Amino acid sequence: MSGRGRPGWWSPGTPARAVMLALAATPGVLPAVTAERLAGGAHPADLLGPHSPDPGEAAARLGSLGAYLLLPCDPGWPLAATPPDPPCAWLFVAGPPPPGPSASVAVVGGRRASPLRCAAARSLGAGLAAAGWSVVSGGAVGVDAAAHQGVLDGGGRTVVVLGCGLDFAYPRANAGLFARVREEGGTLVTEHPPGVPPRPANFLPRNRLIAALAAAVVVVEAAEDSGSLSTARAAGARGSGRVLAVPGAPWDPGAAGCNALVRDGATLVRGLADILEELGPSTAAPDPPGPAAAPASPPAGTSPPAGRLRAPGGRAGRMVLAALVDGGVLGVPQLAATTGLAPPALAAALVELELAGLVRRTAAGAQAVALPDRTGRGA
Amino acid sequence: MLARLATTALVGLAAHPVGVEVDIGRGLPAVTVVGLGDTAVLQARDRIRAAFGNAGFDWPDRRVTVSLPPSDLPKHGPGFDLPIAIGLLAAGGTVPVAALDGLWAVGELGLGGDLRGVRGVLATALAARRAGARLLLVPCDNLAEAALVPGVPVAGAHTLGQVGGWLRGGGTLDAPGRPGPVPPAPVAAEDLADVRGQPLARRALEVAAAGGHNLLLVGPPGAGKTMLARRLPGLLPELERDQALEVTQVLSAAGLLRPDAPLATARPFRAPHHATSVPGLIGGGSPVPRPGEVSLAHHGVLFMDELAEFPRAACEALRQPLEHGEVTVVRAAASVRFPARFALVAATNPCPCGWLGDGVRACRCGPDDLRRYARRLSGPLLDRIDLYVQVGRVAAEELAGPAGGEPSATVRARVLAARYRQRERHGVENAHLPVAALGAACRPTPAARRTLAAAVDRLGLTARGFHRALRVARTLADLAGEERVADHHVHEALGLRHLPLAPSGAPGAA
Repeated sequence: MSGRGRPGWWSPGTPARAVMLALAATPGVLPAVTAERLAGGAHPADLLGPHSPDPGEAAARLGSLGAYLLLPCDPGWPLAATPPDPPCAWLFVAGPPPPGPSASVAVVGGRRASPLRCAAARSLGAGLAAAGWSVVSGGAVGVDAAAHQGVLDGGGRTVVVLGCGLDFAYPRANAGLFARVREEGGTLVTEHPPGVPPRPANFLPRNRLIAALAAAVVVVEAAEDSGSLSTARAAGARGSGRVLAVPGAPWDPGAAGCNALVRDGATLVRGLADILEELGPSTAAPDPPGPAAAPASPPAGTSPPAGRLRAPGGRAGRMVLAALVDGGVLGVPQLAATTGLAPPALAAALVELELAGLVRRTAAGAQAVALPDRTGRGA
Repeated sequence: MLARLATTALVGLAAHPVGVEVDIGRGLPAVTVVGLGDTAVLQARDRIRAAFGNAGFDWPDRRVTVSLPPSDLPKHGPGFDLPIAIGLLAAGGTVPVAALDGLWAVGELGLGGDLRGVRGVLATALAARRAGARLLLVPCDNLAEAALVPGVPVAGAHTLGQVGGWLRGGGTLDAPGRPGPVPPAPVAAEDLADVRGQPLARRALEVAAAGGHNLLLVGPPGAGKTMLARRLPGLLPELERDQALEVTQVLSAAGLLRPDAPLATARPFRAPHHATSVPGLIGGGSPVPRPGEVSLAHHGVLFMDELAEFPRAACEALRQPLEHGEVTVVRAAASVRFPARFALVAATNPCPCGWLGDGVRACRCGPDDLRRYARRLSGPLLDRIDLYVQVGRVAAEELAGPAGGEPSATVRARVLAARYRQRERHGVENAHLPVAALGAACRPTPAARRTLAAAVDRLGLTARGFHRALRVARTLADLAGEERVADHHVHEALGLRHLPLAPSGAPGAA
């Protein structure tokens, strides 16, 4: 490419870092495509366009967001050991540089995951934090948000990989979560310059970064065509990346992708211990966990139920909870058909479970949100 | 010469007395009708003129003035034909003026001189009785309806010729058949025994009937929500005579009364489509409003299928009738109150695609779709619904098997007993128990109190929800024949409580 498209501010004396910043901040440039050209030997200055912003302006804009540009030549570059495919030439970062695969685990899943699987993501996040791992995930509602919340509750570090510019808090429901991540020493990362909205096309390329930033990808929930599977594939394709999955019943739609991964050789996750065993000790624990950070009781959804399921509401409560254990929404008539309980007894059992905090109800049906601990109380 | 008799003008459900004065004097042949009549009233002169010719009466070729006092009351409809025609006959000297003394008449004239039935004759008869009429003359089509009111002599005629002959003293009118005892309510064609499965919905229908609670049915398409709602009228007690008259009066004012069944004995069931306009729903029309669907459902059941599709304005308009049992419709010409005390049964899909919670078919709606859909349901309307119940699809083997459910009559017996207890205790249905009376009426046991307190703490039950649960629990205790509201009543009532359609907050953000 010739220099015809170069912007007016460019001169042969412009520092290389300023050129890279201008290139990264150029609107309409696909980061992965540009990175591939750079990897192919193109000179950054040749890739500049007439719209490439003045490096000073771009730096000021980043500065106003409390963010900076991280390049492969920088000491904190996290992808040196695990270059993603297609490659990544820069990262916009808010917060400390991401710890990278030596100290991170990705916990991913869908937006429509059931409350039980979200609860599992949350407790896995807390458990990983307590074991000294930082957690990488996307910024979506559902499993992503639950995993970050768990890490933050456990006092750990978390990395949110966005599919848009750092000036977009997307989805809006998670704006508070992103602010909390920044306040508590976590990191927001993206390849996209400020001003890029969350386009659907941004999210699949985003998933390769999540995989590259972590030693392993734990898929907590994945429907048959879930985007989380692309994250798992990216990790698996790397060779050194491990893939783990939380399984489910064959008829649980939120488990279809996970079960397929297990069948194809992913490690089956019954609880936190399975993940830690697969990972070995963290090589760069940022904060050795205090005793308070460890979960007090076996977190819901991550420990195999010990013996019989205990539930409030006696036999009826146990039958209802057993019918809801897949985590989906089940209508009350379907519950009645499954359990064979008479209407008054079923209504009473549901209310008992609601009062214990194990079941959430809407007009559309009932859904388990937690499983009881060993004493039979709510988790 | 001047002739005078009386008739009525219908305003809402009530008939107001209206005089009919006909004067034939000197002047160019012309007919003038004064007194705020609408087009149909003014056209009376053309119909009467043709009817006179075809019935063999002479048309007075002189100046005719018809006045309908009071002149400031708007009058509409063709019911003035007959009284004006009688006045003309007397003023023209065809029949003696004295024969019109104390005579009330109402009816439409055909061009051939035949008489046709009109709306609101029951109300006319009530007004005639109040005024001490000597005789109320109506078209034969309306005779049975007019005869429902004791204390006023009524007679019917088929033609204007028959009326003229009788006025001259040469003929007879039709007498009403003997008003027998109120016929028993027809056995509802829709019996609960036909419903297969659906134990939850059956129970909820029974509770709704027993306590007068409004009901929301949530379920996928084809689950039988309409079928269930249709069976609620059959679970309610038979109409008392006064109630039957009120229902009849509404039907009569709306022109929906069948001549062969003058007294409405069955509880009405109305299922307005969601495209029904607000005036169509609560009453309206110009210049004088007619009853809407809520009044046609008076003492019966109003079924609103696809509640989310009803425009918000329609749902808001239902607040007054749900709260006060009547609607006020104001138009330029009149402000009218219609009775509208009905049991509301509403139905909705659980989500836009309808399959959320089905367990077999997967729901394709995202969390945002669910929240948008939930927002379409009117909050104020849901606030007045005590019972939420889900209706599931019935499995194929159940559909194929014998029906075999409890018949309506058995359930109704329990409902009647529960209603009797309520009436003895407070004189009102549990659904209408005032908050101040709830404590004394329910006397919850200590365990029931604890459960209610836990529900407030942990289920986010509001004050309104608390009172609703208590009312429903009272009805459950009444059905069981128990004096105090016990813990298991509260549990079941909480199981039937108001629930949002979509979870609040971000999904999964546990």
